[in-house]
Amino acid sequence: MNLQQPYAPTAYSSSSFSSTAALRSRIPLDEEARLYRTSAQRDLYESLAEIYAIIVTLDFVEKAYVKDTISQEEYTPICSRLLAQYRTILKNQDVANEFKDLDSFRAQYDIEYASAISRLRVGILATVEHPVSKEPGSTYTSEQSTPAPSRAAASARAAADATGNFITFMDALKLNYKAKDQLHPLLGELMTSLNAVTTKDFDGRAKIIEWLIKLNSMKATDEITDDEARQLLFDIDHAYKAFYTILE
Amino acid sequence: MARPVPQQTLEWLHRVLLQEYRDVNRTYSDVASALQSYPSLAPRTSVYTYENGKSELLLNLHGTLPTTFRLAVYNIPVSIWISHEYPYVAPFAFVTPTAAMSLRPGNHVDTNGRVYHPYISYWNGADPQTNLLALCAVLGDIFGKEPPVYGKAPQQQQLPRPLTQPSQPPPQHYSPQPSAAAQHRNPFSPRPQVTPEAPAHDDNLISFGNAAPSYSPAPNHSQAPAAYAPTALNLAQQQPPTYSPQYQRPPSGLPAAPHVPQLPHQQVKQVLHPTPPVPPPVPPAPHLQQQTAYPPQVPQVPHSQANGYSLPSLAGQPLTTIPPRDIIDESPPTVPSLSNQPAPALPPHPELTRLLNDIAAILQKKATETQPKLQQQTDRLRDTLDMLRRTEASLASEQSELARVSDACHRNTKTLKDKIKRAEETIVEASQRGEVNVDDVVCAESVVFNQLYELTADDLAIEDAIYVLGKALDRERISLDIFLKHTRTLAREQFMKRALVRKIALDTGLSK
Repeated sequence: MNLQQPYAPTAYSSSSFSSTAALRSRIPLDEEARLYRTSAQRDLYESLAEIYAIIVTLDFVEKAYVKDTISQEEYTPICSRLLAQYRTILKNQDVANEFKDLDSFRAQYDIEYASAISRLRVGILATVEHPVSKEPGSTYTSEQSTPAPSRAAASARAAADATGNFITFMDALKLNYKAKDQLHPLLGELMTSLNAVTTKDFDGRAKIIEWLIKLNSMKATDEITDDEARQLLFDIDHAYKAFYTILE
Repeated sequence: MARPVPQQTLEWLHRVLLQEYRDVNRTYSDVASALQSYPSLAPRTSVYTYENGKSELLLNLHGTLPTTFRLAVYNIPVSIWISHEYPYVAPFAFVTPTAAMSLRPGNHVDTNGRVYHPYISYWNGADPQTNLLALCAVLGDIFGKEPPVYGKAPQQQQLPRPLTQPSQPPPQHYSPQPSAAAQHRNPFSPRPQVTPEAPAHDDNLISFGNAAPSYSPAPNHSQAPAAYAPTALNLAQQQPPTYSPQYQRPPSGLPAAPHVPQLPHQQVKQVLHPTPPVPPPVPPAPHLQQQTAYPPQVPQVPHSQANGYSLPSLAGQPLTTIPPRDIIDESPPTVPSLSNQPAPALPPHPELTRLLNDIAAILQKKATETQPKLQQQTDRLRDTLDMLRRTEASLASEQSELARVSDACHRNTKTLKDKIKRAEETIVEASQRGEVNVDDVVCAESVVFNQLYELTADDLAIEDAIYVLGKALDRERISLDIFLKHTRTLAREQFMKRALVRKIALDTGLSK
């Protein structure tokens, strides 16, 4: 008798699944199902759809950049625009509640798109993370025929910018600015201005990038701890000195 | 929900299990724990007929199982049979709808009410975690998802059958065979009287050499049913009635604690002891025992009577004859008939008398010698007759069985041939029908499920479309702007569809 079938051999077995599904269903099966019934729900779903669209587009743009289909001049504005849109949508409280966080959103809606996800996690562009110099020749040889004084003027300006940003950021830390929404923009600007000066890697640059990523992964209202603030201050200070050294 | 099971029930259960069950301890503990947790179930023993026709007396738990369906509690009437080989063989569960309900065959219940479940088909008896209690929980679970019965007023709860005391079990499943497992069927002993009487008859026939079948073992059968003894004693009335007073006393003093299964033993004993010769306690003086085996004697007795002599009583015979008349001590016979006759005849020649006596003695000896042989032969013939009868009966039953099987085979062949013919016709027809549009054929039973099909198809189609757009961008067929615009639009649409798929799946219970 242990050989009996696990399920009954009924004459209705061909349709038994749907009949039991009909029993189990919480909604009537006779009319079309709708995603939303109120316009608030509609807006919510449309915002989520926008986020999803951003993810998809970002993924393709990333891949295209990596495959050299688009240049970095095309890539940088698009990517930063997409990132900005992503952050703006998430500022909406309802959407943020529904969204929870990136991982749960992915799990709910079965989203892959790994490149986009990692970019969103990091929060900065590829060209910022691994900057490629826009100036032809600065990384390879220095025997290029470009007007020296304008280059010098431009780089002096950029160096001043970068220094100013360093000081601003360190002052903010000393003033006990700890929240992400206070520190992250400053650090982003610092990074951009550094890249404008030079793309040479100097000691401490990786640290800055690391902190940038870390700040990005926090929620806007999160704060860094005192220990972290001290560590950050030390790292930035060290980087400033290193930056100064490479300026000739 | 648990209630302690009455001690009487447990004792009865233990007694029943000791009879034929393989693993008494395990069965007992499982059944007791199931009864404790589900007080709406009651135990009883009953005859279960398998699909191959065999029937056995099995323990049966019947009653209702409370299940929750759509927030209401329903009691589904079930019947669970525990086979003798429990726990190595899974119990069989049936749904037994009452008159107010109808059975609803489904995934787990077939048209006979039998319950199927992977828990039953993958039942592992060696594991103590696999037991009746878990089975009841599983049954309650599946009945809560798919109710196996429906009624006119499904909100009414079915009353669980009252827990019956095992000492008076409901008699509707009484097995008429006096099998050993029917021990506890106390009130039903008067029924199987038909069978014991026949062997008793045979006893009398076989033991015609004796005055009565030996009822001396009767006091040993202290539990012989009261109804049986008087009947058998009535048969004994054919025998000397002087025996009856002695033997009526023990049976009337018997306690009324009938034990049906002892009857076969009794009969067997009686058949085995037909012959200890019980010397008549009181020689029945005026009785003349006319036994059919002694025809040679019958004509001789009147003959000897006429002669005024009687034959001496035979050794070993409880047969009595008229005691020889002592002519010396008696007064001379006043035979009135003789006085009218002429002078008495000469006394017979003593030689003649002696010869006659000798001849009579010899004949008598020969008769006694041949009697045992004849007896033996008769016994043997009787045995052969019995055996022949039995064989005939079994042959007849086998023949009927074979005829039945042959009939069944013929019917099956015919059915199979019919079905094959129909299948072939269908094949021919289908091959003539031609291609069918796939989209028309693949459809679900309800609007929402159709929608689900469409949405999933759209989702995957958009996925493919975006991928192709990406490829086009790679090959620089389209510019980045166009690519971005279209991708955004398509992705938005895809998300809406995917969200709706997810919502439908959650609402209809297809996914958790």
